Amino acid sequence: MKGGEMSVLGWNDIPDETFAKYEFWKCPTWIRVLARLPILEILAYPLIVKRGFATIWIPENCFIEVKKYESKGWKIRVGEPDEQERLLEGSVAKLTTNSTSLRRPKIAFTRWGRELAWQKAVHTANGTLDCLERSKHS
Amino acid sequence: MKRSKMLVAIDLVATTGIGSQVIPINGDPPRINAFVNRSFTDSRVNLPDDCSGRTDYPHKSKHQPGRVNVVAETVCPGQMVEIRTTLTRPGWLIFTESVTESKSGLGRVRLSVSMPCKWKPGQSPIGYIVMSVHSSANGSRAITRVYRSVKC
Repeated sequence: MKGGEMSVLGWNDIPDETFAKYEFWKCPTWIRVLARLPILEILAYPLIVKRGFATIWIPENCFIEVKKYESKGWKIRVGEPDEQERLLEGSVAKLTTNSTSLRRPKIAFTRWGRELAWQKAVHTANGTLDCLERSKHS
Repeated sequence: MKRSKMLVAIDLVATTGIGSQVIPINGDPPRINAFVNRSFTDSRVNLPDDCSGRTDYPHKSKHQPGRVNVVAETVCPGQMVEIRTTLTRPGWLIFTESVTESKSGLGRVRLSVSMPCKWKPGQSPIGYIVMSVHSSANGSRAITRVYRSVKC
């Protein structure tokens, strides 16, 4: 706890300079449903961490108390996700002449819902939606 | 060449199917091979797979303390490329803040976009959205997007 702010595992407890990634598609369906419910979504994140489906990515030359976070269930990795992961999340893309204009997704009321909607919109515009769909089941 | 030897030569060419590419009858260069080789070796001809765009994760700037910074890049060897990146700090209605920058160049362009931090101790990390549109002279295009919470 810091300055009266309550820290929730998996929601806002990660250290500065790092970022978290959640493997929602490996979680049981009921956790995924919980993560899509407004307000109640906050309860899903501690479950995802405790079950080992969450990773903290630490930049090179950054030091954190690894054991403290591993004991809570976090997986710790150094560097950045590889190109394949970044391609799926939509931060890396191949230029193509088959691209279409981006259609802004409809309003989503949860953190994961928003990310899913935008991820789908970006892949649709880049013509790589099938890759994203395949990755969910692999 | 005797008639029987000529017939054997014609038969060989017909059965292997390589005659027109390996031995140019009229002396012209074999066009198919030339096209394939050029596609893979000449720097002026690029396969579409060579061209990519990326948006890195927004982070606290080390060069400019008190600012959040993001770097984006478009690569397409031998072609004019362009990148347009928008860094957004979402907020209610008019309180959304964003900065857009664009850059163009030959082969590779790298762009850095930043905005002042707003986070105060005791607050939750602030979410930043970065979206880039990458395009090249041959009309190919891609969009990349990143969301990340930063204490900045």
